Amino acid sequence: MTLTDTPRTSSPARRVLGVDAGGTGTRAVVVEGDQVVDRIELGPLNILLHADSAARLAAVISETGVDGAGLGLAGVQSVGDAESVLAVLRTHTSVPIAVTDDSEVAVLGAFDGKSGGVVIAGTGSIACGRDDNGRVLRVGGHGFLLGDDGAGYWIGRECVRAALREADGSGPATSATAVVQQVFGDDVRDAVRRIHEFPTDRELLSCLVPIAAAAADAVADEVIEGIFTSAAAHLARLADTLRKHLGPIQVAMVGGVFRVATVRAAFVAATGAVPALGPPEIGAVRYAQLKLHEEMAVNDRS
Amino acid sequence: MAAAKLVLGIDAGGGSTRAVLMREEELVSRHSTGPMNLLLHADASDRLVALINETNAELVGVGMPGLRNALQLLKFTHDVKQRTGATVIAADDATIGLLGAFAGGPGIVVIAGTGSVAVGWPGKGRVNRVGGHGFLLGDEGSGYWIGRAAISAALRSRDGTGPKSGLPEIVERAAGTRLEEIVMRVHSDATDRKQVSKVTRALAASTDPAATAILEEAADHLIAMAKSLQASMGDLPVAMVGGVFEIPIVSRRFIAATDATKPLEAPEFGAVRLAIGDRNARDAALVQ
Repeated sequence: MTLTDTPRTSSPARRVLGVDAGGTGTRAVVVEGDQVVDRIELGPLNILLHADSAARLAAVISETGVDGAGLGLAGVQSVGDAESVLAVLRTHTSVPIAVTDDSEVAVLGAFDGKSGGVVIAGTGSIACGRDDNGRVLRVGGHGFLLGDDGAGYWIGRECVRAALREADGSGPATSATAVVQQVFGDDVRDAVRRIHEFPTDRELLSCLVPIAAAAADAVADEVIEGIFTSAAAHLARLADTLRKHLGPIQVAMVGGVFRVATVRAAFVAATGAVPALGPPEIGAVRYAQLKLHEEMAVNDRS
Repeated sequence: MAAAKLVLGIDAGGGSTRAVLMREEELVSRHSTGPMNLLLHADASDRLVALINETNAELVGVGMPGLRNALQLLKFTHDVKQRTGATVIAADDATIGLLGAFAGGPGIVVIAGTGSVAVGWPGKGRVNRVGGHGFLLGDEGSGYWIGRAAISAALRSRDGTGPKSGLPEIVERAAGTRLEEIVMRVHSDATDRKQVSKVTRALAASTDPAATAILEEAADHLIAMAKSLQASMGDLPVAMVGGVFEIPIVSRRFIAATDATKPLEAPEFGAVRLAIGDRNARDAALVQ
């Protein structure tokens, strides 16, 4: 059973809301049949960090007057998490809602509900895949202290480390130094203090990615190229692991790190990755159609 | 004369703070308190002032983690002087480790406790330094690094992104909880490093090949730091300081590569040398 041939037959005109909520921004769409009829931009929304998340989501669901909503929420890490969010939302609205994490909706968006996998590399990194039987697997995503190799924070951190090695005299001269200076000031050692003062401010490091990409475009730099290539290798390992478990699925790229040409090219060369067909918020609509249809099927039988 | 004064030498480490109070050559008392790191602990200055006032020291030498540049050093010593009336001479924590390790003489010391750093001093001029960029950016081979490397490798083993090993079980047993929960705990307070150090201790006690490989990699990072200083300053003797060297796999490998010895004196005595120090020790204390 695939997603696209099931929900429309039972309810052709259903209005469905899809939400992709993340720490840096939240995008929502309203879909009627196959048409996107509304797009909504919300601010950053992380259920772990923002206490008013549930109320904000419930408000959007009521205001759009939809028949169902699919939510892909950053911070949801287990079925238990999803159920607690759902329980809170149910106190605000009676509209049927399906909740999962942001990576599963990214897969559904990238392959329009069909099987496939995505490697997501923004500030953090994670891979998520779905096979033809609907089996979902996540790999990576262990956070900036323990994993997230190849992601924006990781790349920024490697740039700072390269600059510090140059300052120490234990590494070669690199334009990573100029990149770090642009953000942290002339003495790259000041970066050490700033970064440890705000250990959870991950943007402090991931903001270096586009600057490093521009620097490497302007003047070839082996150190920065090496960081980008190694980032791509880490991300490709996530894709390989998905395929090892789910079979030879197609893989798509999601997230800002893939805007870096070197990373993208090396990743595509290693994995044969394809561009995503649609964005995660459309995937959230597909998730709702899939889950709410299943719910209805159960109701029909009972 | 400085010699008759009560001199307090303080090693304000990332794991704990140790101090000795001396009058001339006589050890008057020993003190210990919690860790003080200017980068991590907002109350570090206050607790230091309390310690100095409690001992009535007139002259204080202090090695302070997180002191990064000359301006910060001046501000810090000025502030403590104002609040205690004592004469305060400060350096970063690695410098007093060096002064203690070679009793004020030239050498290289590699320090691997919660964090890691190597400093070398050829007998005149300034102290050279490698590493020590804190737990978010460096500290390769340190206790935190070892524990974090083990947790990461355990996650990769379970994910299938890395080789299968016994690490998931070792890490979960050490932390007393599942890997998913460990990931949450480590990130819930990034500056609380207790979770990670539990894993480091378990790794040190393990005979699993994957655990040994991480400990050997830690030793190799620490060896590279010593070699990097020898490359720029000449073939100075090497000493090893800090809890990581109490792990036999690490110290055996480190000694084999560097002929390292144990320090002659503990860092807090190096801090006393810094305070009463000859011109050499004062020179060495200058932050580069």
